[in-house]
Amino acid sequence: MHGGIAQGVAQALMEEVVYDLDGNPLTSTFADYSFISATELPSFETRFTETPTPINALGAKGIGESGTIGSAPALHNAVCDAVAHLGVRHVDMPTTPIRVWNAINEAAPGNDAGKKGR
Amino acid sequence: MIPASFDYVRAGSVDEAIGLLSEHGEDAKLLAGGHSLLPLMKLRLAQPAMLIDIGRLRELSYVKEEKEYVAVGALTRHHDIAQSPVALASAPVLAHVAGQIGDPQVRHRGTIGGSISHGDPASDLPAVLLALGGTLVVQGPNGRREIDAKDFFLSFFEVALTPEEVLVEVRVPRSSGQWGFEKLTKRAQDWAIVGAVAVKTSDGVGVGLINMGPVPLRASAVEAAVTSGAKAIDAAQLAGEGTDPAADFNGSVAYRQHVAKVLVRRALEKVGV
Repeated sequence: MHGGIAQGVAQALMEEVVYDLDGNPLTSTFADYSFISATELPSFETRFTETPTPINALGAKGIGESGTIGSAPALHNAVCDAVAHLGVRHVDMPTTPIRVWNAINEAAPGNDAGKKGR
Repeated sequence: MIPASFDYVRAGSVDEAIGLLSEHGEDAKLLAGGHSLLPLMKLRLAQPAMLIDIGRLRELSYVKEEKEYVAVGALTRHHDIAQSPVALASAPVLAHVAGQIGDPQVRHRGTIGGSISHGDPASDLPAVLLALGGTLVVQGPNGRREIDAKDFFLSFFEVALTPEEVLVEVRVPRSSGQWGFEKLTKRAQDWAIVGAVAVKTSDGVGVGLINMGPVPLRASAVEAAVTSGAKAIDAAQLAGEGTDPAADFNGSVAYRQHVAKVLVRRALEKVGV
């Protein structure tokens, strides 16, 4: 579960394969491609519910993806909410620092480029 | 990720390393912790024909207190500086920043001399040396000479060492006063997108910038403003002056100059400006 949550957080905040305009990969090593680690993450609290499946003998189900599915939109919505009062309506994923800063500037009063809406 | 082929020799002393450098000239590179040079070699951005390994010269690994300054041997590893009682007492900003470099693996292998002589503007330690007004002791065939940190970083990955010289010691003025260190990274282990360091010195406040140009920079305009009485929020507005940062997918020029102002303000506030 913790790994799944971490993967979704990384997708929302930093993980991205980037190419330049000529198609050269810019994230060809793990120095440039930002996988996430425990250092960037808080502690998680997990709660469990047990609903065994009747269609196999163990009652077991796969749940690893559920953390990923929930955490990416939760993080992305939190970032968008944090800058909504500045007029920002949209930020592309992942919401890297430069993307958030650009979105704030585009939405700034007096910047017509930011008023086109999305 | 496979380096070009190279020859390898281990030097048993500084004099032997200087002799080998004199023999092999610009085709040779010194190898210490290997955490800057080896990645460049794997990307084939560096292709030295000869590696001269000085990593086992333990006599160059120390942190010593002198009357006016703290002396750090060039082969002292970042982790050892971060843990050194002498550094923590008399150069606390150096100890703190050494403990923030890369990840534990890097800090247990990488050395201060390797990081400084690499001349990478995105490294943390050069900005600390500039802010503190440090001095570098280098040794060559004609003996030792001292170079002011401000004269050491010449251009992108180029420093004032001649091909026969070895950096042997880093000196920083003793400074147990207030300091502030701020760096913006996506992940703890990353190089700084932008970083700033401010320290109280005997002449006022020294401010260094990380990754804001082809060389590590001193924020002279900010320092001058602080000297003439400006508060942190006003002095920090000058943090972009004289900078020439690179643009990449982590930040445009305008973004880096904006972040520099924010980080310089925070660092100045920590030294009571």
